[in-house]
Amino acid sequence: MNCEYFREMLSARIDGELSRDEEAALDEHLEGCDSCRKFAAAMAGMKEAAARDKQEAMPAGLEEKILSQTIKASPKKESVLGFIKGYYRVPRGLAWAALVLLFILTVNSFRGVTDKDAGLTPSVEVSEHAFVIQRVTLTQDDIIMSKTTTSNNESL
Amino acid sequence: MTDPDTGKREKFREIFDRHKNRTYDFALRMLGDRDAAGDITQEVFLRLYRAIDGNPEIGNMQNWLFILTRNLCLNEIRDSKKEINIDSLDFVEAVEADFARNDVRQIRKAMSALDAKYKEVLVLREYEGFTYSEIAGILGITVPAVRSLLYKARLMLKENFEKISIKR
Ligand SMILES: [Zn+2]
Repeated sequence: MNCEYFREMLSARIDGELSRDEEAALDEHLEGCDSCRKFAAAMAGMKEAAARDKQEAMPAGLEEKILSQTIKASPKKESVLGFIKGYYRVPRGLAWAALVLLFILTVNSFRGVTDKDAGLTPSVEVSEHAFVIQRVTLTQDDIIMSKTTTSNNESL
Repeated sequence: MTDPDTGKREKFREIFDRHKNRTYDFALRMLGDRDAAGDITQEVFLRLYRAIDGNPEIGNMQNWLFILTRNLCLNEIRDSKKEINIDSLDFVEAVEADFARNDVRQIRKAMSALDAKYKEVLVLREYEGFTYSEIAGILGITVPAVRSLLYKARLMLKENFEKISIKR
């Protein structure tokens, strides 16, 4: 009998990748072959040692490093402009002009609300305005501009 | 007003959480060096993040990740070209401190002395738990070829394993 042939089967059996027919043929061979039984025992010993050698987890420091460079990375400065450029293909100067115009319009509509409904404005409506302004101003001088917005908001 | 990046981040996080340990462990066992394994795993996930940008579906994500990890490891092995001294590998030496087990130390030594083509198939099977069909996808070979390669790898491993236990 060709022992090589059965030893390859032994290796596959260890991995649970042997067909039922092959199982039967292998068992039959093992019954009559001392040398292959020894080989099987040696394979099993190595398999056990490997099973005790547990998978090593990614170190926490590395995980943090990868996340901070991917999903936790701060959004790109040009993200809103980039969005406009990408989808509408307008020149950079025009995009800025549009943003400034939008900003002015939004602030004006805000004033309108202030004059009419001082003291009565539902908080939901105010925060909606604030949200729009923040999205626009974030592209310019992030922190300074949004602070201005917040203080406007508070003065309502 | 949904942030277009939110979907990308969620998808990345899901893949990252599912595969981070296996990818790292695979690289570590291929290279026997934690720093090198860390560099490669980092590179793999940064590339994944950029790739998700362009193609929301990169086909078989698991294959994609492990093919890339494997290629980077093989490049590293080829480029460093240093003779690997199995007695001085920190990953092998670490066993005594971490596990205090002789047979585990012995199997690590035997593994680290294998040729990359045997090592990779054994690591994917024994440590990362891939099926023959998954390994076939990663290595770009047929399932019968995986079976035959694993058998040869185990013959080499057995040889190394016995040499080491005689020396001990
Ligand atoms: Zn036999």
